[in-house]
Amino acid sequence: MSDKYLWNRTGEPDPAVERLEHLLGGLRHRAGPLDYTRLPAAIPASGATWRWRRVVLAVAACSAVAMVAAGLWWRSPQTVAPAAPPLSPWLAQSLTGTPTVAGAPLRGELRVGGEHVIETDRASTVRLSASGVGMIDLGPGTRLRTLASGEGEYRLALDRGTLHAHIWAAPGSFAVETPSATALDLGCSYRLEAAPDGSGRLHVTLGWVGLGQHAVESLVPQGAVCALRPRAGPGTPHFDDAPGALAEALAAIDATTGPMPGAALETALAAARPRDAFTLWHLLRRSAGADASRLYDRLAVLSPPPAGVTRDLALAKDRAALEAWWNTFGLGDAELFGRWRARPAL
Amino acid sequence: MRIGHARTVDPAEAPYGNQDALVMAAKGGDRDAFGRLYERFGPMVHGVLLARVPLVEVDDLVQDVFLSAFQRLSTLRAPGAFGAWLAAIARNRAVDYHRRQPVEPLADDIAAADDGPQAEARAVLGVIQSLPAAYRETLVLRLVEGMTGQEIADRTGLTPASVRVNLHRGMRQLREALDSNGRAR
Repeated sequence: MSDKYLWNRTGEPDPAVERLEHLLGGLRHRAGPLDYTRLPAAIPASGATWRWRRVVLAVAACSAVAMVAAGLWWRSPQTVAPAAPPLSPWLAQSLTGTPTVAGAPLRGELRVGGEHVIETDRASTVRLSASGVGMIDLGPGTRLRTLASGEGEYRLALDRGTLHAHIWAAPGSFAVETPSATALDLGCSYRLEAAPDGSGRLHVTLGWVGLGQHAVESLVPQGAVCALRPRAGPGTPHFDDAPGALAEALAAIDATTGPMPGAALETALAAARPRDAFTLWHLLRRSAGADASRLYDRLAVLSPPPAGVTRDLALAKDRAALEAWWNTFGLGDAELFGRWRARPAL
Repeated sequence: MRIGHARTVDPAEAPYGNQDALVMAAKGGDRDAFGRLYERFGPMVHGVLLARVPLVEVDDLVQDVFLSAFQRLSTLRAPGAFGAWLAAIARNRAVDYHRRQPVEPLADDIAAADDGPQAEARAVLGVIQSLPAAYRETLVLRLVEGMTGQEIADRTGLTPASVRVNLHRGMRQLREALDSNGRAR
């Protein structure tokens, strides 16, 4: 057992502890606001002290009323104080070393409002937390920007480095932009790596993440990884225990932007297990012509399409048909796609 | 990439990075300061309660603990002891909860869960709740709330050495109580 990992999540991860973290993380504190209305009414003290306080309070109240009335009379027309700006949700906490926020050293904790750059060097790490949203740990060598966002939306931009996110905000309300794609939380924990050139990797450890850029979309379930491709958006997701041949073939396919390399596609089709149906499903959506036909045939063997999903509909990329097929994979309902499409403009 | 006007961090916010300043402000009735203490210590209180009472009761009791603390804050002499003081309130609140419950509801709570990961999580939580109090509290703070050992020590007022021992021994007992796949037997 790695006590170091158990102590502070550094060193070689202990698989048992990691599994328990992922399993139990869903029970974590989700802070709603404190409900002060539950406070009981003030209980009056007894005896002379209370009587004396009542006199003082009465005098103070009368004075306050008089002062307010005088103020209102004197200041006409009445001015209205501007509303206080909303409190930023993000609290940055230095975990190790001396990271920076807006170029200034971060020691202890600081609430980070608006748009700022948070950077860690090789020896520092930061935790960003937001009540009701989640917790994001930034690894060494990371540059992250907090972004202004609308009501109920939370957006960050990972320029380089690594983040580990545990999100409990409503699915679809938290997004991380990277140089090549945007990761939209669909209720999950994940690790996201990004390099300035746009390359990177997403590993989902709980729930789902939608990864997209323009028309290229990948939905990545728990236990799956997905590459980020420079200037080309997300790659093809696959489970982290996929056969090596399949992973290598997908890397070759993802490296091209035109027709899929024949040999790589052949390898992927042969290596895919029934569990990898969702991977072939993603390839099918991105393929055309003979490639699409071969993908359909193999996918139909690994995970037969449900009634009503015909070959013609699948090859025509009919949305309802493909989503109905998706629902047979046991990876969650295709309703997730609706949340992905309903995402804010990326 | 949308990059708007960058503004410098408001220096006025910096003092709130200091816990003692937050506690002092909250003692003066500053609800914003107390709200930040709630954000910071909420997971700790949640974990302390979750180690002792049924899951379905925890959120409600977290509110109770913080509102009780808000009312009694004037009795706290050392702002630096806020975490330990709050943890004590949470533990007492859990004891009080059980005094008022004629039937132990933990088993029902677990049985009521649906199938799937949530049910498995509740089952494992049930195993943790069966461990000695010191171990289960530290394990819940580490495995459920995601706190590091040092954070547990900082928030609860326990010494890092105690937390380390509790984590180590608690994890050993938990492994023994779970099956080889890490699932509740």
